[in-house]
Amino acid sequence: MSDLLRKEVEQILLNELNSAETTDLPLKRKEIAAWDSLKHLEIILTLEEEFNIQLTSEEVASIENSNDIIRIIEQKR
Amino acid sequence: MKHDITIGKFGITLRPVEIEDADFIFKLRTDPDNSQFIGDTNSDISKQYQWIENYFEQENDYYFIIESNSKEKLGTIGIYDIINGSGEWGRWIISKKHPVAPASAWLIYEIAFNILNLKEVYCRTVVDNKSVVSFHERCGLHRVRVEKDGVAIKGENKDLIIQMLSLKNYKMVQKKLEVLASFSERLMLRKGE
Repeated sequence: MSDLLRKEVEQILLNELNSAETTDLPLKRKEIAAWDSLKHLEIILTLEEEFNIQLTSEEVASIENSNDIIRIIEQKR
Repeated sequence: MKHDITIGKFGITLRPVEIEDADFIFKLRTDPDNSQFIGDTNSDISKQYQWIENYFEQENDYYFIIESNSKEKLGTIGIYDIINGSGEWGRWIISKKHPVAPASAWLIYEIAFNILNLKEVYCRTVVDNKSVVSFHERCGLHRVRVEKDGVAIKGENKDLIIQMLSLKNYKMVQKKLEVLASFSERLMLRKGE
């Protein structure tokens, strides 16, 4: 797992979530109230644009934390 | 109640609950990720069938299955306890397979304000269900009050947060939901690529 990719993804998430809860890594959906289902889709839109990838509905639904995002991006690059 | 409202957009349809949906609803409600935030469900599935039979007799109670265009059942949603143009919307449980929360919320507001002609709707969400409370806040619902010990979950009383949307503001909320509901539709179309 690339450190650079990890940092990029975590920075995007921190910017998107803009939440005081977001201190522990990896960032977990269940632990961050602001990471609700609306914000989740906004994050996916940003990631798709940033990394020039397309996720499937199942992939989007399977994401529970920042590590899941990194794994999916690595698979698609 | 038995109703005939069916409405679709953004790759999903809300259609009336039928007795044949009891198994699906039971599985959804007893999924551990879901059951922590909803009122206790009897572990006897025959009670679910009975609950739906009773629901058919209830006035002002509109319960829906959320389905994909390919008829895959994705969740439930409803509007009920309608009094003087104000109703609660809830029973909102979505399977983890597809991110259809924005689309299903858009459709329930369409039913509430454009078909049932309600003046306002409100949600009662368990205080611990922070992501759903956040969802409603982000949409533009305003918090009205906290209902102390409003629901029993696994034998423990939980407070509920009441959030409200009026007829005046529902178009604005739908507008917010549209971009992401359209995106979720595109995601579902990518399935199997």
